[in-house]
Amino acid sequence: MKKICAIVLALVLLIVPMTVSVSAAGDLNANEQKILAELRKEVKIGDKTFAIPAEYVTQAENYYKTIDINDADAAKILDYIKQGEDIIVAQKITSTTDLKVLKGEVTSKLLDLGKKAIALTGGVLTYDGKNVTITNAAGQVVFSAAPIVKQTGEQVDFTAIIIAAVALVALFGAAVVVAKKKALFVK
Amino acid sequence: MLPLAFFIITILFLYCIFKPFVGITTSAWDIFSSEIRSDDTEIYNDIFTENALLGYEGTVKASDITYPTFGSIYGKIEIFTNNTVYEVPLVYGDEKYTLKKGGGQYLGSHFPGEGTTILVSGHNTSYFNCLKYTKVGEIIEITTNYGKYKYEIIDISPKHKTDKTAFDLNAKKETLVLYTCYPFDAVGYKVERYYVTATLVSGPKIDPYN
Repeated sequence: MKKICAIVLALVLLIVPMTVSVSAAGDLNANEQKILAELRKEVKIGDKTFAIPAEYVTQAENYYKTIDINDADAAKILDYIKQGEDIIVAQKITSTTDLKVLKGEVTSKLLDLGKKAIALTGGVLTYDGKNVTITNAAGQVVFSAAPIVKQTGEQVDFTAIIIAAVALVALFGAAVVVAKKKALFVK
Repeated sequence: MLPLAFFIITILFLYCIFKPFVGITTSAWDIFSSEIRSDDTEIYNDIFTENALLGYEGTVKASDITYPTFGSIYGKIEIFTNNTVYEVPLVYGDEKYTLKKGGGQYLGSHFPGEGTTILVSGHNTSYFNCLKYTKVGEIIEITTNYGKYKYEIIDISPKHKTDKTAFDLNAKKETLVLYTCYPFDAVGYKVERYYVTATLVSGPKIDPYN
């Protein structure tokens, strides 16, 4: 569910770099407000509603503060959002839990569109199977679907050391067994 | 059976012996490897100058603000505790490499002056180690290019990282939430976070539509 939301929003963000003006302003113009309102709108799916998580919309809002979107491009973006909504609704989903079953199919459709769009802008969309990240043409992250709460202590990976320990012990254990069988231990 | 038992006991023994050193070693490597990644640092564009447009009052137009891009230092956090002022650079973005530069603001949270939640994380071994000294009622200040903000600590509590009650990103009241991994002196992966929550005392409001 979250991945789909992230990708829908990603599609919106991808088209935006085409609209960046050199003198980007910090305020939200009418076009940007219209797009944000659309992103915040809940889509009815059967008896449930589909909504993009607020923290994703805030990422879009923060990004819009660094760029300006004109009328023509805003129209394209709004149409893009509609396409994303249509893809989800077209799956005949009657509840949000059904999205989980169809997410692979929906995800790949949306990803294909997103990758084509970002290729035009010079930016990159990365989907590693868990998270969606979008960087602009300058390589700066503008959107990340990573968990909100981060790891702020040491990053620990026990895998290598455990494998090494297992190998060592297995080797030692095997040596003991062989030595016993061959009666190599001196009493 | 005996070799198998010996095998298992030895694995457990080795695990216990190496556990304390793994975190330290990987952290050291993280620091080293992040320092040598010049491609990451080249795209950071720090904008903080310490010359705030306004003081602790007033309204600032969003069009007068230069908003940061990912990885840029756009402000300074001052934590007044333990008879010391701990200064922490405020960075936009809370990924691994931005946290090397200071306290990292989550991309999906808001900026000071916007009247809602600012979520900032930091390493418990460096920038946010000082959070362990903080007490309710103490002051945290944020200085940006557009204004100065004063917050008063109202709550300090460790919570599980998945605890959704720790903060509300849609709060209608301006709230600064600083967090770091907890416990402070434990090494290795931690599932708890130490949250310091503070509410706005004074600072200029941002008018987002002008």
